[in-house]
Amino acid sequence: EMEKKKEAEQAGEESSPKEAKVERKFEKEKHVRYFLYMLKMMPHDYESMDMKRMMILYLSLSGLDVMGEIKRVDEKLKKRAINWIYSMQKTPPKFTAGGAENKNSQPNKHYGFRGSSSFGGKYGECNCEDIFPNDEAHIAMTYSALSCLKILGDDLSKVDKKAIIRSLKLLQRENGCFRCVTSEEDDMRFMYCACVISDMLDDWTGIDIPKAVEYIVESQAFDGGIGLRIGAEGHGGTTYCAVASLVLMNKVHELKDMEGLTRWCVYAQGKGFVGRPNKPADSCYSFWIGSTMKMLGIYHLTDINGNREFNLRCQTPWGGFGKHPNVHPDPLHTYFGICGLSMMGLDSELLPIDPRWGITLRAKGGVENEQNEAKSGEVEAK
Amino acid sequence: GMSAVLTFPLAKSELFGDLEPVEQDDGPEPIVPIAYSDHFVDVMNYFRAILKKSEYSARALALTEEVIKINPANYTGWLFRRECLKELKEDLQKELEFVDEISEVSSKNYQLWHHRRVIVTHIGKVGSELEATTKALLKDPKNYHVWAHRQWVLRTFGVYENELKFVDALLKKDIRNNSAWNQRYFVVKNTSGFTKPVLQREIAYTYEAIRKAPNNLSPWNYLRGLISQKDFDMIDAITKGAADVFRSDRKCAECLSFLVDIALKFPSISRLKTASKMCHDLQTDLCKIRHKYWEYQNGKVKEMLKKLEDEAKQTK
Repeated sequence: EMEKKKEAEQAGEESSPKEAKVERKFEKEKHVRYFLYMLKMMPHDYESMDMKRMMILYLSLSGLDVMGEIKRVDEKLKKRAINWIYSMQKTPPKFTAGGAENKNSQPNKHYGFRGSSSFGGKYGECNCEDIFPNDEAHIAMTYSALSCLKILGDDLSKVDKKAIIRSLKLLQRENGCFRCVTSEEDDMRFMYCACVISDMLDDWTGIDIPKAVEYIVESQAFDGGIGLRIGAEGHGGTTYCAVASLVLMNKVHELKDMEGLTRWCVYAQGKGFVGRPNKPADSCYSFWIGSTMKMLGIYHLTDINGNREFNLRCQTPWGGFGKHPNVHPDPLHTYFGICGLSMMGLDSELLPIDPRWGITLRAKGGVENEQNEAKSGEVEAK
Repeated sequence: GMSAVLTFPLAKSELFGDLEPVEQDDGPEPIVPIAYSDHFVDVMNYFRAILKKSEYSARALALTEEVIKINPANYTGWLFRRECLKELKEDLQKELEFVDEISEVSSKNYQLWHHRRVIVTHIGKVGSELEATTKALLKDPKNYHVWAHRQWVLRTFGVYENELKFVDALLKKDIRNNSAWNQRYFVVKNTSGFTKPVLQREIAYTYEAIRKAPNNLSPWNYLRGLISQKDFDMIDAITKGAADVFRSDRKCAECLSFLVDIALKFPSISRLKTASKMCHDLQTDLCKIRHKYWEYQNGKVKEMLKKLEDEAKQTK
């Protein structure tokens, strides 16, 4: 028993006796400043994020939004962000090689939003395929861009929706799953991106739904969790991606082992949530698994207080959350740690999120009453 | 193939003297900019120039190596590298050594493992893929990427012969390694299948593991995987095993949890009555943190119990 307790302490599951004396509170202002700083400049050790700047933008803007502080992004910064986002859009060429207007949006390439300007084209140049043939959009950056635009109140009128939907067809593989770019492999993360993009643009013609559903159903592991691919270990992040995809497609009932999934989710929580059995708790899973449970109508089976206590311990003195207590912060764990707190409903300053889209109900729009649970994607418990 | 040697900064090197570097154009007021180091900017400026030219050359190949080193998540770097390797007809075995080198630093990188799979596919032989993943897993036994790669190797080349032994070795090191339990299921499913003799063997193996650490969730989940096989009928064997565990540790929450699941899956009035009591014990004493779940489970147990009791009354 002593050994187990020591292990749990090391993994951050349990507070050390010294820590337990400190009353934890949500240090909102520190996290607001953390994200505002990211918007202005990321330090050089973020070079590995160079292809994903659009995603960091999403984490930062949505993080501010969930904290009720999107207003800290003033009109000037908002305009700057929207301009930059649209400069990342890659659309089909306006004219064909022959000079005629491109009515069919050929050629059949991957259009949508890029993660950054690293590809080399000129600012605002939506198509430079003739100069940079390797340039293409990235499905997760398209999702991030659309989310950011919604958060900033843009009406998406400058988005080439048809080109994006058509590109989904290009990215879906024989097995039903999706790639992020044409040169990389398919997996469950991009299945989610494809589904949420289709829902955001209200156009499902780019997805072969039966094939997609079959892939997800086959990916459920024997313990009830869902993995990155068929045969892979059940994992918190991919379980979210799979369940959210099914919910968006209205096909949750196709899952073969709902009881197993319920048990897997419940068991993922000690105090904090783990991503896989027998691994240490990690702040981001309070969102991945918490929101999975929200969508399945079983969130009431969680221990909100234990969850909150763990998340708050993952806050750092500099602002931001780390994956465990006493670990350096990063934008991903900060954002999902805050989203996890929002779902618990214990911090009134945090705005409710739509678990399917990963943005606030406010950003999603079209909701009169933010308290309206029915619109948040919660399913009636059976 | 030839190999080019890069000197930095590339802007001052003779090798790239003819090329016009292409700067990133982030617009007048970028957002979420990165404070790039000079070296990063230098390398990427020349990579963009190479991309613009679609130049598959020795210097381009060398450049992709640096691009990958400064940002292993740069999928365009990996893609262009593959195109250079193809064009220059490079030695793909040597390329695997390069992947090994990058893997030392970035073993949790999606692009790297995808690249490895493309290279191995082109080589067309299993080579030392099992050895490479074994080595990686001995260092980092739960690395999700390595397990995914190993599953791909097994599926693609059908080299399952020693896999159960490998899983067993990892479980001997750490009986709680959930990835290894998942792999066990994967191997049995893709080789013998869950036939009766295999089920007998697996049930015995799993209870042996449970005896070593009764509150370990992974083997209990593995048992749940076994009982969900088509036409599973070895209820007595599986219940006996659980009863043995219960006798030696009446407070083993995982054991009770499993017996409740057995009662729900193979219901009988006596099993359900016992299960209801177990749910109560779990809820109030043995697993209080999940008390709402045990309330939920008990609800299902009682509902099913009522149904069976009503049916029994009707047949009287």
